[in-house]
Amino acid sequence: MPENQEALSGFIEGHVAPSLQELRILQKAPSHRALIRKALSSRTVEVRTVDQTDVFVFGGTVIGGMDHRVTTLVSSHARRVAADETLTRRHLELQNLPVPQEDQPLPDGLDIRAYVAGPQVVAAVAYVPLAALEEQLPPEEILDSEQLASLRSGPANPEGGIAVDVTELLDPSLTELAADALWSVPGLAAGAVDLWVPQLDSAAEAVVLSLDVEASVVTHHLPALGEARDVAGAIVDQLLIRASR
Amino acid sequence: MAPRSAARPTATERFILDYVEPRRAQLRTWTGTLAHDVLIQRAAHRKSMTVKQISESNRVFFLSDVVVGGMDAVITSLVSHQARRISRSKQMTKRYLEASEVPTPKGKAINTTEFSRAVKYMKALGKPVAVKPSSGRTGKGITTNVTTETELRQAWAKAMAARSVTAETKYQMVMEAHHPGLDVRVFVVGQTVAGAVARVPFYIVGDGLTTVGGLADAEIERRSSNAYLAARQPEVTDEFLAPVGLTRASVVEAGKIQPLTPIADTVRGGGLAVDITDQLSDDIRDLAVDGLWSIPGLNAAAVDLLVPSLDSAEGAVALEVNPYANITEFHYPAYGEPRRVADAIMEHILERASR
Repeated sequence: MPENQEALSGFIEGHVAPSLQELRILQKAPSHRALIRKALSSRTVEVRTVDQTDVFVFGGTVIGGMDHRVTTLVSSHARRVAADETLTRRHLELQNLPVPQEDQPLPDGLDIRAYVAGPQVVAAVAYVPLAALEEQLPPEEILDSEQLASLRSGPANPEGGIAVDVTELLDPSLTELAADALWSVPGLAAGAVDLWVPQLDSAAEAVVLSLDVEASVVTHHLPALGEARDVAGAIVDQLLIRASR
Repeated sequence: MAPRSAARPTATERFILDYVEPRRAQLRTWTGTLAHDVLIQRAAHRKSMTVKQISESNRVFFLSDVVVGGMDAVITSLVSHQARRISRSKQMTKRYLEASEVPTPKGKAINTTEFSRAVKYMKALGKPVAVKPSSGRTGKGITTNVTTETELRQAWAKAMAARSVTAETKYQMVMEAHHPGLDVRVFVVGQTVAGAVARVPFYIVGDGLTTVGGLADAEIERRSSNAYLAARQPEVTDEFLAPVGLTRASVVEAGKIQPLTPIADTVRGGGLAVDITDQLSDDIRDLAVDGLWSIPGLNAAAVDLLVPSLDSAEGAVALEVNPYANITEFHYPAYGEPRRVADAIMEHILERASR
């Protein structure tokens, strides 16, 4: 975390403060698997469970599956690359995508997670660390007790912060960067891309931190603040599109 | 003396008699052979792709600077994470086959310490069983047609011995109903059969005079002009022959087809891969494709079948779906046409990348 936090304080002031009262209560958020199942069911995709893993069947044909949180939109190759920092970095560099400079601190910026399904970003959130938020906006004065409890232990913000939907705030150059990062890895059609972004309206100095092929969709379905995004639906649509092999 | 049929020939014996022996003079003589990963990389180059090596085992395929696929050791990006995990266990593969109603022999996984359970299970099945290490990817440690407790004990020991030092801690045995049939390996890419081989054990045809050792040596000598087989010749010793109850000094009656290993081992046991791509019936092809499709996110793999006859899928079963299968035996069969599986894989990678 850089010492200079102007980007973060500016974001809190511009995008968190005006709507903090609308903070979602996340105590009863559905699980990742439940959200995926709901999306499957609404598209009449049947789920068969084999040894605690899921097989997705549409019209009698296996169109994909899910092993823990990893769907068949993730190749074995991609899983291995994403799990290895050095390999991920090499894949990104081969596509001339910006990565953090080794041994140099990150510039002032925001921690953004963009979920890419197929060709595009379907949702993005900014993570706001709780400490920074509480310092700037004393929550006791703004939130009711239930919201306060949720803020401090919400299931969708395990990293001690809140997720704020920024899907529509991201400049197209940033969503392109996220999609390009995902597509730099062979056989990867859905996953989260973590970016470090100095400004939401420009990709200047933005870098790709990592890829997460096991990312939960819950953060995007129920961000603490901002609009809900149907990432599970986008994942299932990709499974259906890509099933026609 | 011409080889002749036993009174009740097995599917493998019939195949040798009707299909392999008549082609004996047409043994392929490959001069230079390429390894699995080299075949795939050459196919990538033929499709105008560039291949970049990222780490020792990791390669990326580019087409005009766009990533279209990759390869991690021997498997390509056509294999999902879930599919690779399933392929690590024969028992898991079986459950996925069953979930898609693809015929597969009845069986279960048993812990290595539960031999008495294995004995009970064999009795409950009431028929011969095959014993296999659950996590093995080659034919190592497999015994088929086990009928008695003594045989089961030997099979168990053999499967235990095949355990590699790198094997996972959860090492289990798969016991399944022994299913007679010809060992057929079909390589499926997408919805298409890219190649199929029958795998025939190392065999000799007795003449009533020459010893097994003499006939085996002559067969090995005959194969030396085939670079693919020459690199995989077995050493036929008494120990090698013990599982089939023979020694080098044994003499086999004239005309009898005598397998020298209990199952076809094309890696080190002198087994032969015989191209049968054009001989497979449509319903056997469908069975192989269904086998691949039963594994989520699997777009290319070998599907191992046991088939009573190449004319029909009746009585045929799928044993395994293996994304790690080596494609060289399709490119360099002992008899028949070479099948360019590597090209089919790369074409499919390009096709999927364009969506």
